[in-house]
Amino acid sequence: MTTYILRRLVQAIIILIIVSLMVFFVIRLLPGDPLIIYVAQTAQLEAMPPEMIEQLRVQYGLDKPIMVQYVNWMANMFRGDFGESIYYHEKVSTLMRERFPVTLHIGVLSLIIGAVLGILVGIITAVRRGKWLDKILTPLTYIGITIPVFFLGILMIYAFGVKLGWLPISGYTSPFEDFWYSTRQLVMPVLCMSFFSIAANARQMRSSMLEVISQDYVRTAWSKGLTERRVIFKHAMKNSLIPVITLVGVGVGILFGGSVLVETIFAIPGVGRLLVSSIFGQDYVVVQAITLVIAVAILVVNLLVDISYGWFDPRIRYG
Amino acid sequence: MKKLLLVPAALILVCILVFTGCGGGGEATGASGGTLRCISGAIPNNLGYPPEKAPSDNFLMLPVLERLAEWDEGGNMIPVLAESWDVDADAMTITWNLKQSIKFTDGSDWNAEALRWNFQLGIDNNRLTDGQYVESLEVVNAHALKMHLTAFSWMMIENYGLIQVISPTAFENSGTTAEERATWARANAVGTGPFTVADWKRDDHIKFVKNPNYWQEGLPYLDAIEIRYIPDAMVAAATIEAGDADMWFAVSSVQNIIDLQDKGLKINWGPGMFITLLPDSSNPDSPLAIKEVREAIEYGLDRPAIAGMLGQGLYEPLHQMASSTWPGYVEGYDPRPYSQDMAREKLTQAGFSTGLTFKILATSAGTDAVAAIQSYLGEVGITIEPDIADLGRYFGAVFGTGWSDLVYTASGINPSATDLFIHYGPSPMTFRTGNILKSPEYLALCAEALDPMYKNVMEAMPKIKAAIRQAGEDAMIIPLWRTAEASIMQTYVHSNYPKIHGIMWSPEDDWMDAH
Repeated sequence: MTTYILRRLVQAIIILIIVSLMVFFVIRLLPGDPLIIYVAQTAQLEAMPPEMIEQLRVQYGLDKPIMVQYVNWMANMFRGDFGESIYYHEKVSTLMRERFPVTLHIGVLSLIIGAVLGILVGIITAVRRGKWLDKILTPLTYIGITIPVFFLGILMIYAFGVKLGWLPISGYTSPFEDFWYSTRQLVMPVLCMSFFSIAANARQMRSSMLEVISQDYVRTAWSKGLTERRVIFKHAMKNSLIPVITLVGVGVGILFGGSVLVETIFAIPGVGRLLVSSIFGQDYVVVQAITLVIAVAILVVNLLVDISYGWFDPRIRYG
Repeated sequence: MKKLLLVPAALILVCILVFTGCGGGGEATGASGGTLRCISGAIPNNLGYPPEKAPSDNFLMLPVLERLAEWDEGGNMIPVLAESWDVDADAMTITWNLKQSIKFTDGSDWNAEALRWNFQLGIDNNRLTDGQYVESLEVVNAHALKMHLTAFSWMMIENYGLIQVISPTAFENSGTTAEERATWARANAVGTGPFTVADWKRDDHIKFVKNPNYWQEGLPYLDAIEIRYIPDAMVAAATIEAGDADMWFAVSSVQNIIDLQDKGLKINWGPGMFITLLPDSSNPDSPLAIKEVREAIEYGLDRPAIAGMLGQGLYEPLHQMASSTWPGYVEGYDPRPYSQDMAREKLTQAGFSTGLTFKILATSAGTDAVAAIQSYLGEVGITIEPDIADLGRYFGAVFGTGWSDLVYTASGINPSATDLFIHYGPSPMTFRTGNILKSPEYLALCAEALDPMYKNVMEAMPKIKAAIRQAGEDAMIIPLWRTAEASIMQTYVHSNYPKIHGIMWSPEDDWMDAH
C-alpha cells in the first residue's frame, strides 16, 4: 500500500510539472501584451508613456527570457510565493484566500448533494426497475446529463428568481454572516452545479446496482428472508459503489469547471470567476497559480479515491 | 424502501421551507433616507490609490472622493471643492481658490496643501493628465493654490479640475513604507464626500454609508448606497426586474433597455459611445492613404439604416466627427450621405474600379456591426474580411503596435469638447499609434483651438467646429453611429446618472420615494 501511494505521488508530481509547463507556455501563446491590456482596461494609456510600460514589464519580470520566467515562477511557488496579480495589484495568495472558500463552499455542497441524491436515485430506480418511480426518474437523469449548466441557471433564475420571487438571483453571502440568506442564495447555484452529478451518479449507480442485485449472494440474502433495507444497504450497495466513487472523484474536476459557469451566471465572487477574468486580462500569474492549485486538488482527490477502493472492496490489492 | 423515499421527500420539504421562508427584499423608505441598492457591470477594485485607478474606480468612488470641479450639462466646468479659479494666460498660471470649512472624513482639513499633495502624487506617478506642463505648485495661502505652467490651454482646467482628492493625512499615516501606504489606500478611501466606505469586498460589492458631517447642508438624502457587481447583463436585468435592485448603472445592451422600459422601469439616458472606423491612412502603401478610398467607404455605408437595425431605433447615425449631443457638432454638416453611385465613382477616381479588399479589426462586441458593414461595402465592390480579435490582440493593436486597414472602435463622448483632443488631436491620449493620417490644415485648427487666448471651451468652440469640419473634408475617420447608454431604475428612484457623462454622478442628490 505504501509503495502504491509513493508511486502515485511521484506520478502526481510529474503530472503537475507537465501541467505547469502547459499552463505557463500556452497562456503566453495568446496574442496581446498583458501590460497593454491592463493599461488599456484601466484607461491608464493616457498617462502611461512607453518607458513606464517598460518599467512595469521589469517589475513583473516579463522582460526576462521565457525559460528564466518559468524557473523563477516555479522557484517562487516552492517558496509559497504565488506572485502578484498585474490587474489587481494584489498577491495571488490573497486573491485565492478570498475566493477558494466561496468556490469550495458551493463545490462541496454540490458534491455531497450530487453523491447522496445520485446514489439514492440510482438505488431507487434499480430496485424499482420498470415501476412508475423508475419511469419518472430515469428520463430525468437523461435530462440532467444533457442540459447545459448555463441554460439550467438561466431557467432557474427566470422561474425561481423573477417569476416566483422565491430566491435571490445572484451574489454570495457567507453563512457565518447570515445563515438563512446564505442558504437561500446558494439553492440555485448548488442545484445547478450538482444537477449533472446527480444524474451521472444515478445512471452509474442504477446500472451497477442492477448488476449486483442479480448476483447469487444477493439472491441468497433475499432467500434468507432478510429485509429489503438490509439486503440493499448491507449486501448490495457497498459493492455497487466502486464505479460511483470513481465518478465522484472525476466530479471534483467537473465541479471546478462548472464553477466557472455557475459563478459567472450567479455573480458569485469565487475562484471560477477570478479565473475567467484573469484569462481575459491575460493576468498570467493568477491563471497559472489557480490552474496549478486546481490540478493539485484533483490529483489529491483521485489519489484518495484510488485508496478508498480497498476499503469498499477488500479483494482489491495494490501492486 | 419506503424509508428510503423519505430522504428525498425530507430534502424537498427543506427546500420548500428555504424557498418560501425568510423573505428578503428592499426596506421601505421615505423620500429621504433608505439604502439605494445598485448593480453594476464594474466595481471599484482600487478604492483610494490614485496612481492605479481605472475609470470605474473613479466614478463609482464619487460618493467618497469628490472632485475639484466637474462638468455641468452644457459641458461647462462648475466648482465642487473649488470655490473658483483664476487663469492668467500670460503668466501661464491657474490659481485654484478652495471652499473653506470642509474637512476630510478623518477630520483633517481640505486646504491648499492637501490639493498640492494630491496634484504632486499624480505628477510623480504620471497619472495627472497634462501633468507634464506643471512647472511648480505654489501654496498661496490656506485656501489658494497656484499652478505655474509651461503652457496653457482651456483643456487644463478640465484635466486638472476633474482630479478626485484623497486625504493626505490618512494616506501618510497608513504605513511606514510607500508600499504599505499604497496597499492600504487600495482598500481604503478617505475623502470629503457625502458617504464613507462601510464595507467592500473585491469583485463583489461595496457599501457606502452617509457622512453625517458632509459639508453640503441637508445632503445626502440617502442613508446608504450599496453597489453589487453583476457582470452578466441577463442576470443584472433579471435582478432589477425581480425587484432585488433599485438601480442598474451604465447599461449599453439595447435589448435590456427596451425590455425593462416596456416593463415600466425608469430610464436615464446618457451620451453613449462614439463608434467609428479608423483607417490605416498614414501608411503610404495602403489604399486607405487615398482620400477617395476613404470617401468611397463612407458613401457606401447607409449609416441611418445600420444604426436603426443595430440600435433598434436608439442609436444616432453619425455623419461627422461629432454627435448631435456634443458641443462641437456642426449643424447640418453631412459631407457623404449614403450613395452607392458616389462610392463606386470615388473608387474609380482612386484607380480601384475593380474593387478592393480590407480587413476590419474588431472585438466580438462589434461582430454584428462589422457584418452589416461587410454587406453594404460588398455591394460597391469593397470586400471586407472581418478580423474578430480577443481583447489582448485588439488592445495591443489599437493602443500599442498599430493596425492594418481598418479598425472598429468605440470612444467616450464628453459634454465638453475635449474628446476631439483626447482621441483625435495632435497628440491624442487614446488612438496614438500614428495610423491615422491627419492633414496639416486639421492639425493647425486643433492647435488654434488650444490657443491660450481661449479661457474656456465655449470661447474656443468656433475653432473646434472648424477642426471637426476639416476632419470631415479630409475623410480623416469614418464616423458610424452613437450607441445608447442608460441607467435603469425603479420608478421610485431619482438620480441624474449618467445624463451628463458616464463619469459624472452626484450621489448626494439621489433620493427615493417611499416604496
